Amino acid sequence: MPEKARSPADIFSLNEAATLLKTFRLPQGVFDPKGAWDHAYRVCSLIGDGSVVGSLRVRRAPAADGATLSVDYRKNVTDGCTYDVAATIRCRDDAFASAIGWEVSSQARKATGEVLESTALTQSAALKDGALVVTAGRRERRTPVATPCTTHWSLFDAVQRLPRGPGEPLKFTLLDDLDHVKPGQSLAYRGAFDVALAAAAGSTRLHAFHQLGEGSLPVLYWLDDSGRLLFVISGIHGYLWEERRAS
Amino acid sequence: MTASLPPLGRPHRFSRRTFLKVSAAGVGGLAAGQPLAGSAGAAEAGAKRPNFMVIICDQLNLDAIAAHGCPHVKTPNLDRLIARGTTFMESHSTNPVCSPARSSIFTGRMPVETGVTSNNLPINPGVPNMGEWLRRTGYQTVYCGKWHLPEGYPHLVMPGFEVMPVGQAQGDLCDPIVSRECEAFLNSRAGGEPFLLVASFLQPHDICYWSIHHDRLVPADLPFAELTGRLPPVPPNNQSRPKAPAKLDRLVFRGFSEAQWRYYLWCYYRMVEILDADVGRLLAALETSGHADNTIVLFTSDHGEGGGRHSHVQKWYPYEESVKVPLIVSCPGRVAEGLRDADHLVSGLDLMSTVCDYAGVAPPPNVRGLSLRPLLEKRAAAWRDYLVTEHHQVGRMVRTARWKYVHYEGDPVEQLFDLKNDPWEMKNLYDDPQCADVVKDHRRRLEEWQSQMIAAPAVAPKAPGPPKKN
Repeated sequence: MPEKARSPADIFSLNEAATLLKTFRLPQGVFDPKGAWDHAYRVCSLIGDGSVVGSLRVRRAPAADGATLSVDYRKNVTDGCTYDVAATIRCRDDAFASAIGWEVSSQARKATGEVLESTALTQSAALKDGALVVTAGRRERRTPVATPCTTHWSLFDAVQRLPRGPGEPLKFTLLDDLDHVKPGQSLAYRGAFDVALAAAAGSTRLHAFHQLGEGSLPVLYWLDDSGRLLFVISGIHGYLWEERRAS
Repeated sequence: MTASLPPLGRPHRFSRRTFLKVSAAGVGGLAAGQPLAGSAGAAEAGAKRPNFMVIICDQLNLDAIAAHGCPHVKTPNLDRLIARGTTFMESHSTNPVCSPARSSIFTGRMPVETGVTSNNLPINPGVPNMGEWLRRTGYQTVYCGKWHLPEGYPHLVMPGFEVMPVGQAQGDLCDPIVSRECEAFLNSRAGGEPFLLVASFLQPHDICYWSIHHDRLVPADLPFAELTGRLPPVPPNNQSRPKAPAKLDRLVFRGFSEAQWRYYLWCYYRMVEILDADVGRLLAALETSGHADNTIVLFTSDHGEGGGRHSHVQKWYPYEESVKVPLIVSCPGRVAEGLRDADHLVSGLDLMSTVCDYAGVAPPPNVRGLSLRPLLEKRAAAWRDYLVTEHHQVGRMVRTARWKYVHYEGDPVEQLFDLKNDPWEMKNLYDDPQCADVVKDHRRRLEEWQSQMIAAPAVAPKAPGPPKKN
């Protein structure tokens, strides 16, 4: 059991985001990781003291066979442009929130909102017969996939329900950025940490999982005691939970 | 021994004396769009002109690819590109820093001529870039990804290219967006004029921050117990410090234990795999979009990565780990497949000439590169017997088949390595009396090379905005 609250600056991976975390405000209210929820994150570059480069919103809706995740990702770009990704991911009701299939559309927009047509892409995908089949218009691309497999965004969901404690790491194939097939992943519980988050009174109990594998830098998932995913940090890139503004 | 060579970077009148055994095809004053009379490109101009997909990455070692013999990394997509094309094992950055190297790739000129002798400088406006040159000949020219000439990512309006925007600041990792936008471009394109598509990835450049933020990212204690026994070994020259010019000695990184070096390398190889996945998306899109048959893919990096060799991180210096870069060209049916060329000294300068040759147009005046086309088509060709790279503005390296000679203006210490017998560059032979003639010969070559350079007017570096990166 952790004994003393430590500063984020003294904890591996949180130390990369330590400056940005100085103003972090803990979410309030009850959280049920098995239910419907709506999370928002700042997408951050953690170079130097860190900066916000975009936003991410992930919503979960339970379904009969698992859940549906709705993802809205926005990246800030030069000249006031944005790059937007909207995805709907159908997930199984298992430890990984394994992927059943997804639809995604992405495009860059000028500051005026005008879509740059050459950047617009709409795809759907399904896992079937041991392959990831990605379809864009009449074009189809089939890639063999070892199961279980899950998307990088689905892990934002799955990790919130994983048991905490020692045990064998979970093994899976990652669909990074949805269609980059990266086998040989493992996800393990890292421990509980009492962290002194500057904007919170006293210490906050956080739990960490880490993911290691081919084609990926280590990813650390940080959750609060209720299981709510607060931070995802991988090297110099991070997602930091933020209070969602009313739209 | 103290070298007495002409000052570097001073303006010179162009000389017909050349470093080539034969002149580079197309060096001269032909206008863009003019067929390259008497060359293979003349036939190309009359036939269906090929598309080009130029893939550039950042800080990739030549030997950090599985198909190049690296056992610590999985790069199935680069391996596939290599299997389907020609890979050059003696490929060199013109100046192993982001902006200078990129200025050469896109112009065929040395950094001293483009004016981009350090980071965050623009290309001399008098020197046309690849996009400007091909656009005049009817190509659609599209740029996506890192630019760094001078801004990290290009504005929507830039010389020579339409821009598909992806990022906003240096160090801003947007590689998945680059590959996704390029896939969208390829899918949406239904013929018409040929295209030049540049996909410029940032990885594995993130490794720079594993040294800059080493206290945070590379802790003294291995942060993942599972990796014990799975980390790559340190290179055999990790502790080697051959006598070097002062500027090179200042770049030694002394902060890591052996365990930290090994974890650092493990992270680097994961970044290479991240890059590989995005390259894979491009190659898949090329195939499913139907453009693969008529698109020449050229893959390279701006510079390498120290990776603990000579206790170095990052780049800048003339050691192999910094200056050697992959250069892969693939187009089944046009380019030799499965060819590993270890015989020819090639350079980032050569991309411009190669693209022009296949496009059937003369390259811009005074390009220093050679078209790789004869090598790619397994035709006999006279080739350069030395090449020169630039470093720290005042440093130069001369590379011949066996030797590497390094000279920094004003520094009494030179370097000479016998790469045949000392591939890890651990023994500096510059003051070995038995090598005096070799040193003398390489000095002469350097003098000859310098006499050809047409230095760009000096431009003050643009102050980079935060976050700062190399």
